[in-house]
Order: sequence, then C-alpha cells, then structure tokens
Amino acid sequence: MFYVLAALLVASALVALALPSTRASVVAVMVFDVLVGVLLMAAGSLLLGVIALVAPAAVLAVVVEVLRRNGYGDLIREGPAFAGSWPVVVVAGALLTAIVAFTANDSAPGDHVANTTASLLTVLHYRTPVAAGVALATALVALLGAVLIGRTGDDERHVDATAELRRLREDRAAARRQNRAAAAQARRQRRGDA
Amino acid sequence: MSVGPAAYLVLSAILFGAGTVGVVARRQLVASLASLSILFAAPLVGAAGVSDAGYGTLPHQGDAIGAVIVVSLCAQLAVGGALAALVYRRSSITDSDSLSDVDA
Repeated sequence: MFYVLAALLVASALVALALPSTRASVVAVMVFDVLVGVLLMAAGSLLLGVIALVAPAAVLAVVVEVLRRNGYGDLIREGPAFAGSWPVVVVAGALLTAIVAFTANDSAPGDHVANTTASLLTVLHYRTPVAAGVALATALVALLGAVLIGRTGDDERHVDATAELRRLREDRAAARRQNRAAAAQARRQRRGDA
Repeated sequence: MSVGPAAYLVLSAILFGAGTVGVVARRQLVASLASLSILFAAPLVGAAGVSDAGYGTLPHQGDAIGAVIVVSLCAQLAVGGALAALVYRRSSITDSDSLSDVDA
C-alpha cells in the first residue's frame, strides 16, 4: 500500500513539474495533495490525513478561481514554462534528493513501533497547545494578509480611473489631430486642383 | 502500513527535491506557487512517518507538527496568490524571470 501510494505521489509530482500548462500543473498538484492526505490516513494519522486531503487542494482551487474571476486570468494562462537554467536546477535537485535520501536512510533504522492511540486533537489540546495556537494565528494572519495584499484599495481605484480618463483624453486628442491633418491635406489638394 | 520511518523519509527526500526543482525552474508565478505544495508535503510525509513509528518524546508529536505544516502550506498559498495578483496588477508580470526587471 505504501509503495503504491509513494509511486503515485512521485508520479503526480513529476507530472506537475513537467507539464508546461499552468492549469494542468495546478490540477496535478491538487491530485498530489489528495494523495498526500490518503498516505497520511493510511499511515494512521486519520485527522491529519483528512485535513491534508481537503485543505491545501481546496485553498489552491480557491486561489486560482479568485484570480481567474478578478481579472488576473493572465496569471493562469499558458506561458513559457521553464526558466532558462532548468537543467542546472534539475541536476541540483537530483543531488539534493540523493543527499537527503541517503542521510534519511542512515539516520532511521526502519524498525516499526506500535502506534499509540492518542489522536491529533488530544495531542494539540493537551500536549502541544502552543503549536495549535501558532497554527491558528498563522491561519488568521495569512487570511488577513492575503486580503490586505490582494485587495484593490480606494487610492488604486482612483489612480486607475484617472489613468483611464487620461488615456481616453489622449486618444480623443490624437483622433482630432489626425482629422485636422486630413482636413488640411484635403484643403491643399482642393486648392491645387483649382 | 508496516514500513519503517526510513521509507517515509526517503519519499520525503524525493518530494523535497522535486518541490525545490519546481519552485526554482517553473517560470509562471502560479505554477511556481503550486510547486510549493510539493515542497511542503516533504516534511509532512516525514513527520507522519516518524509519528507512525512512535518516535519522539510524545505520542503523535509528528501529527502536531504535520498540522502546523498543513496550516503553513495553506497560508503560503493564500499569501502567495495575493502577492502574484499584486505583482501582476502593478507590473503586468506573470513569470518569475521578469521579476528582476521590475524597478524597486
């Protein structure tokens, strides 16, 4: 079971990295998030697994949908997929993976100890209340921060409206100039004909 | 599942490497942001594996760490999305390579 899930996880991660389309990559990452949740549940961390299965994929979907609906569609359109230095990055990533994997293998003996019955809520409530508090504070600050960073303020709306008016004014002035020039040329032609 | 923590940690290492490559190599801001999910999943899988094996001084201590990691991942997705929107609004930039051209 673990090895099947691990293979699926690695495959979905590689697909997410390799797909040139941003949308397809986001979908692959959402599948990856769901698989991580399933793996955690299979590992005995039921509540954490459910949270990991739902929360990151849902937040990613909400972020992409909010961007799409609010005029930021260009951010999720097709574009150049990879940075110019991607071969160097892939080699560096492979080396990093090898180093961390071999270190992990050395440090973890691999013996399996029987699972305890304490649930995540019990641990968070009684043993690590600070971690629960930090997680809650992080979620609230991130939500407020995202709204503050992402919203369009009154001053920005005013600046955008002023810029739009200026652009329209300049377009009208350019059209008037073109009309005057065309009219002057037509007058000259009429005089020349006469 | 009766595999030891070593298997989880090796999987965690692979995901960490893949996530790092995704964050650095992808050009589109949103794709790079999505790759952060893979990067964040690495310690999550490692913590769950160690927790499953009963390591640590507290039972299911790894789960508590994992909960904080999931919340941090959601937080960075929300704030990262907002930052991408802000960058696009101010400079119409959608890829990370062009960020170096933006005047401070």
